[in-house]
Parts: sequence; structure tokens; C-alpha cells
Amino acid sequence: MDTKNNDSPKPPRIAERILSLLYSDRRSFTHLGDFREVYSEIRAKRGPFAASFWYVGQILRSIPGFLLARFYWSAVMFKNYFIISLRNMVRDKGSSLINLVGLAAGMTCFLLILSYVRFETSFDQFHQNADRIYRVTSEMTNMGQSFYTPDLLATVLKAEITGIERITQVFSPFGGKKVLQADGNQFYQSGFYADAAFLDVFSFPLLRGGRGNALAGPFKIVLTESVAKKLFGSDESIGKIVVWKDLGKPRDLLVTAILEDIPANSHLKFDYLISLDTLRSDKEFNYMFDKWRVANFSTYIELARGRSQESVEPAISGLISRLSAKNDKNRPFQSFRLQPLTDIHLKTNFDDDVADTGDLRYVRLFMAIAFLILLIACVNHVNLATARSAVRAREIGIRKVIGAYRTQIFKQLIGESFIVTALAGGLALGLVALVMPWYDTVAGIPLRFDLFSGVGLLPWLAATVLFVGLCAGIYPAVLLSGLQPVRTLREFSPSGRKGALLRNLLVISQFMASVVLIVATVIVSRQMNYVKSERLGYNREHVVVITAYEQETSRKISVIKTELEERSEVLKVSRTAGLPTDIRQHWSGWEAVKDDGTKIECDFQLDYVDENFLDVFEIGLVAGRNFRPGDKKVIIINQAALKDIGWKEPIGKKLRAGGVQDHEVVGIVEDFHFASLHSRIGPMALLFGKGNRLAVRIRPGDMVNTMGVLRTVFEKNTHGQPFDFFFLDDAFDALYKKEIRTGEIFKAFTVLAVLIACLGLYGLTSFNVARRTKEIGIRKILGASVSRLVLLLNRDFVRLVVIGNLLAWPLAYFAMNKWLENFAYRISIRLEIFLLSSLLSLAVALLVVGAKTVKAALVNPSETLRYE
Amino acid sequence: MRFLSRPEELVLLAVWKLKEKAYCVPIRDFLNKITGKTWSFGSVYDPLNRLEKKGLLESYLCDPTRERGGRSKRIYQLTSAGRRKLTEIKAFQQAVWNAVPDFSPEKQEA
Repeated sequence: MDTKNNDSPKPPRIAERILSLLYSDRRSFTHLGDFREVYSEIRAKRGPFAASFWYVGQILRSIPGFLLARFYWSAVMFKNYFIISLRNMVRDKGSSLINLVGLAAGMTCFLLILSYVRFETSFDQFHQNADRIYRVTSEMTNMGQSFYTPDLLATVLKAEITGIERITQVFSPFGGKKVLQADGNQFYQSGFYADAAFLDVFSFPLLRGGRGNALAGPFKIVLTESVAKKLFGSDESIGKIVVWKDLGKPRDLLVTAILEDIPANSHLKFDYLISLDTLRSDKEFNYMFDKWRVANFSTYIELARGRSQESVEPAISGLISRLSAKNDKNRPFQSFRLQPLTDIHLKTNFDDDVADTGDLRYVRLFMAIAFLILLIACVNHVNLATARSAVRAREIGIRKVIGAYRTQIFKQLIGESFIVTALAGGLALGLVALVMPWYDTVAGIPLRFDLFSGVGLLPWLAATVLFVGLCAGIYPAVLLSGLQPVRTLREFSPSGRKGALLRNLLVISQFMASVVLIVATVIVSRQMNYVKSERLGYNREHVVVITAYEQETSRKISVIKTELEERSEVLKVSRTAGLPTDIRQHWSGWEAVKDDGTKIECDFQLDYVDENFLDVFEIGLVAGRNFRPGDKKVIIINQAALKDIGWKEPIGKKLRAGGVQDHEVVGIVEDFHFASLHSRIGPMALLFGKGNRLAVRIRPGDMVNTMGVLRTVFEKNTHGQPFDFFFLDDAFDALYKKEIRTGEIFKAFTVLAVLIACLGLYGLTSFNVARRTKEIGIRKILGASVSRLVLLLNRDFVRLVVIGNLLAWPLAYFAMNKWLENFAYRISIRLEIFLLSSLLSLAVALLVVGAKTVKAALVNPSETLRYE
Repeated sequence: MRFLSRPEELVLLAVWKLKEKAYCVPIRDFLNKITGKTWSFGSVYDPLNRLEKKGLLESYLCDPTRERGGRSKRIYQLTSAGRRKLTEIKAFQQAVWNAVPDFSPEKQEA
């Protein structure tokens, strides 16, 4: 016999579902039965197809009625809701305003931080094949990772590995900026050597010229638009000649293409590209090519469509290990990995990376702050809305009595919160547009206020409004829609007690968040102060650094030095290669014989300096002597290096470089911070030699005049080379760029977060005070003093703020401890910082609450009780 | 008296005619038959709901059958008010027809 399930033919399941949705009142069950019955009848008579056809027809004709019932009436109700919520907002101007301003400020912060985060995460996404481009990184057993790869790598990969579409090599010329000269104009610009495939792999937008062979063949140069305009006065410069000057021979280069200026969110930043074949054709640079030993290039590969990092990387490793197993003099000795192009900006931290690198941790941190601030703003909304529930209770009671469902009231209240949030969103948009120019400079990145362009803020704003509207609206809506009409309408004076516990919790959490931010700000700024004031071991003030970037200046550099030394504005000049902020070279393999006769090998960070170096930077000698003119093969090491070697009598001992050259130790310098305070002071050495920089200690005072003097001396001797200099101070600050920036942004957003929290507290207080005016009046009549009343009114809030503070302490402690771990030299977190922050938050809260409560306590009771 | 709409009248009549078998499907079949048109379900539900609201009909759920896929039927019944209404309507119709001169169309259907 047939089973229960199969007892009759069924209409299409989906059709039945739709129909049951359309007939969603209580009768639908029998309605569906009716349809089913007729369906089976038709099916029996005319077959299943006709029956289904009929069924679908039934659905279609139900739709218009359904639409009318659903949308027409809901539109009518919507209008009502809209009017009511506007009326409510207008009736309670104070708290509506607080709510609106709080939300708008929170959303502004959020959008600002978001635009920063989006900028940071947008790096290199603009390349057409960004997802298929990888940078090759190399790893050596005792040197760690590096992005420098040897020339042979590209050749071998191209020949042996399948799945690689294109390979391009980039070489960053030593010494940074170079001079570009054309039409009598000359400027310092920085750029790269790149091979012909570069413009095919990377889709930097081209203005003029062709992609294909712009960089093929020697002596070709591609300029960016602004450089072309600077040099030639127009971008019609294809086919013209640019003279490129570095310390070697000047080169004439043919302009073959013009690029649009490089977007700010490219990890490679350059003003020009020179064809790599130029370098290849130069005998002087032969040593870099066709070798595994010399790794000076950045190599980028573009994988073929459908190939992944996982499939190509093992193939490369396999190839390299096969090659390095060969008994060949020229064989690879490092291993290679791939790094996705879009990870380069945020996820690498190589020293001295040519790439513009950011820090994922800071991006995450800012995102967290953004959400924190948004939540603080949401909390205001929740607090004010639940506090005002007493006022709304009547309206909701009446609505329910008239026959509103809970879901309808819920929708109404959620809708209200969306209206408020949308208004706040509009306000926030205006504020963002207003603040953006200032924010650009603080964040240190070019953010544009682009509403409607491809990466506009508008969709994000919409998402934020939705998110905030939901977050802020859902609790009050659930709470209020659940009110019992009998109770709300009968009680004479609704208390607004409902949700008091939650409100308290929310105030606590607001202050917790604010105090965490305050503590963080204080610690960040103290650490930065510490960094700046810490005895670095050298004096970084009043030092100007002038660099010779090309041959002519470099030839004249000692002349300039002597002339500068004669000027009264100048105290001392050192001709040097290294700076205390920047001891650039890393040499390994120094051999030393210890006091006990054992040999050890050591590594130094080192650079070439002259005999004035220690004087100019005011670096102290612990033992021995300074360099003297005419010294040969002498070396000065620092205390850290001495400690590693362990000599008792270091002066006169020998250090052997690369197993051949003995250097005599003539002096020991005090440890000074030659890198940032992020890392410990390691072993360092100074060699006697001539560099291409002049470090000029100037007499403090009239800076403009002094700089004028420097410029005149420079220009007189170099025949109009552009004068380029920097202050050591600025170079020092650059070491802490991220931290300084973080500190600034932190400060701004902390102030805002505290303000928003206070705004909420103010709103809550004024509401509470208004509710208790009669109570206050009666208390006064019964003899309460003003101070007692103020105490009474403030007690609750103070308690909440204090609890919030106490909860914030451990949180802030752990977070900031983690941050400080980035610094090898750091301040200790002391209790006073917490006390100070807490006191500050308490003071601000009291100020906010106090003003309102004192006013309420001073009111003459006859005023408040008159109408009773 | 308050008039009913024509569909309401017809539905009321159908319920009377079908007695205890008066649920939506047979009602619709009946209406299709006597009017010669296809009535949609909606145009049957609406008068049924309205008549029930007016207190002329009452309904109860009845056991499901196989061809309804296990769903029960809602059987409608006249209330006493409904029965009175039907009588009123009939009397009224007759009164109206009696009040005019005799009317017989030339051609009747065979």
C-alpha cells in the first residue's frame, strides 16, 4: 500500500513554499490544502504539467494583492513613524543633539581611520596582475632574509621554471639621489634601473611612448610626468636627451616614455627609470652580472594564469638546491622564496628596504581604535534611548492598545535609530571633508576626500550607518517593544529604571575604553619624549648634512669643507660617509685574538669617517685617541665591540679584515645609539676614510643667515649644482616616523573618545536630574544642604567612572607593555601614569556632571514643587 | 438593511447549498458552475472572510484528506444571522422583482 508520504501527487515544493509565504496569515494552512486539492484534481485530469502550470499561475495572481497589503500599508505606517520620531527628537532637543553629535563624531573618527587603513591596505593593488606578481626574497644561512637577489637568478628562473610569465629586475643605484640635467635645469631625483619587462609586469599608467621597448637597450630613460615637466617645461620630451650624473661619469640618456606620476600607494617609488642594459654595458658594473655571489637586484616575477605560489615555490627551491649541489665555483648559496606583491607594504620589515613599508600592527591597532570609538558613540545612543524609555513608554503603550504587534514597534524603534544614524552619517561626511586636509598631514599620507570615485567612502559610510544603527538601536528596540501596555499606562510616573543596570555597565565600559586610550596616549608620548631626550651618546642638534651626489661636487668637497671651516657661522666640519643615525655597512669576518690567545670572528656595523667626526657629533672617547691625518689602517671600536672581544688593553691590538688586512685599534668610543632605540647597541667600528658627505656643526642662532652662507659656499664651488641638505634632527625623527605618527593620531582620537564619552555622560545626567527635580525639591524642603544634594547626585556616576578606571588599568598595562617591547630602550610603566590618567578622566567627568547637578541642587524648591 | 455584495451573496448561498461539505474547493466549483466563470481562490476567500467577520458564517477545522497533502479543511456554516440574512435577501429580491412590470426576455436559453 502507499505510504503516508506518497499518498498524493505534490505540486513543486518551491512553489508551495512561495505560496505559503504569500498567504502568511493564520489561515494559510487550510488555504494551502485547498490549492493542493485542486492541484491533484487537475493533475488527475490533465496531467502534471498542466497542474504545475496552474499552480504557478495561482502564485502569480496572488502577487499584486500581496504587494498592496504589504507595501502600501507599511508606507502609510512609515510616514507616521517618521513624523513621530522627528517630533520626539525635536521635543527633546538637548539629548537628541548630544546623541547626534556623539554619533557624528564617532563616525567621523571611524571614517578617517578607515580611509587611512584602506590606503595602507591598497598598496600595489592597482597593478592589473597584482595577484600574480611576486617579489623574490633570498635567505642566507647566517644573514637572514633579504630582498636582494643575484642577477643569475632571473636568467635561471626564466629558462628552467615553467609557469612564470615574466620576470623583471630592478636595481636601486647606490647613494640614493642623482642629478638629472636637461635644458640647463638640474635637479636631484631618485630612480631605479629596470629591465625591459618592468613596464609589462607593472602597469604603471603610461602617458606617452610605448610600453614594450621603452627600457630595451642601453642609455634609455623613462621619466615621470612631473619630472619631465620640471626638466623640459612640458611632457613632450620623448626623443630628447637627459644627462644623468652620479659620482662617476655623466651619462646621456634618451627619453623614451613618460609615465604618470607614481601613485602614493605603490611600494616602488621613483622619479625615473633607466634601462638596465645601460648598467650591463658599463664595464665598471660587470661584477654584478651573471653571478650568484653578488646580490644587488630586486627580482619580481609574474606567474602565468592559473599558477600559484604553492606550485612554483617548491619548483624554484628544487632547482636551486640542484644547482647548489653542483661542484661549480659559481653556484647559488642562498635559498629563495616568493612574496606576494600586495604583501610587501604591510608584511615585510627588512632593514633598508627600497620599498615604502608600513606596519600591519599599526593598521590593526588603528582599526581597533576606530571600532572602540564607534562603540563608545553607540553606547551613548543606547543609554539615552533606554533612559528616555519612560517618556516613550506611553506612546508605545497606546500603540499596543490600538493593536500594534511587538514586531511593528520593534521595527519602528530600529527605524528611528537608523534615522538618527543616517543624519549623523551626513554630518560625519561633512566633518570628514572638513578635517581631511589636516588629517593628511598628521597621518603623513596623501588621502583624498573622494566620495564618488572608484574607492569612495560612500559605500563605507552606508555600511557604517547600517552597523551603528543596528548596534545602537537593537537593545532599546527590544527593551521598549517588550513593555506591557497595562503597566506603562497605569503607572503614574514611569521610573525609567528599566535597563539601569545595563546603562551602568555601558557607562563603565565607555570610561574603561577612554582610560585605556588616555593611558596609551600618555605612555606613547612619554616613550617618544624618552627617545628624544635619552642620552644618545651624540649631539644631534645644529648639524646640517650636505651630500655630494655627483662627480663635480664630490671633486670639490674638500675645498667646500675648508671654506666652510673659515666661516664664523660654522663651528666644525666633518667629511664622512656615515652619520650617527646611519652607520650603513655591515662587515662580517673580522678576526681578533683574545687575551687568552683564542681567535674569534666578529661582525661590525661600520662606516668611514674623518678625524673631525667625533668632535662634530660630540661623541666621547673612552680610551685611546682620535684619528689623525695620515693614519693608515687604523680602527676605532665602540664599548659594545670591546666587550664582545674582551681585551683588557685594547689600544694597539690588531683586527684583521677578511683574513688579510690588519687594522690597529687606536681608540674606544662610548656606545652611542647608531640605530633607533628599537634595537640594542651592537658592536660598531669606525674606519678612517673619506666620504661624500659634509656634516657641518653650525653655531646656534640666525639659521636663515647660516643656511644662506652654506648655500653660497656650496654654489660658488659647484657651478650651480642644486644645494641639497638635511638636518640631522630630521633624519633622527625619520627613524621614529611610525611612532611619532601613531602618537599624533592617538592623541587626536583619544581626545575625541573622551569627549564623546563625556557627551553621553552629560546627556544621562541631565536626564536623571530632570527626572529627580521633584525629589530634589522635597529633600531641600526637608533640610538637605546643597552640598549633600550634589554629593547624592554625583555619587552614582563617580562610582561608575571609578570602576571603569580600575578595569582599564590591567588592560592598558598589558597592551602598552606589548607596545613597549618594540623598543630595546624604553620607559617603565609606573603607577603614576595610571593615577594621572584616572584622575584626569574623573576630573573631566565631574566637571561634566558637576555643572549640571550643582545647577539642579541650587534651584529653589518652590519652583519645582509649585505645580504639585 | 445592510446589503451584501454580489459575491458575498453567492458565497453565502453556496455555503447554504453545500451544507457540511462547504469548504473552499467545492464552494469555488459551485460558483464556477452557476456563473460560468472561473473564480480565483482569492475571490472566494475574501467574501468568506468578510462574511465570517460580519457574523453570517462560522467555520471549524475538519479532518484532512489524502489529496490535500495532509492539510485540514476549513468548513463553513451559516450562523442564524446568516440564515436570516439569506431569507431577507430572498424576500428583498422577490419584492424588487414583484414591484416592476413582468419582464420576460424574448430568447431564453434552451
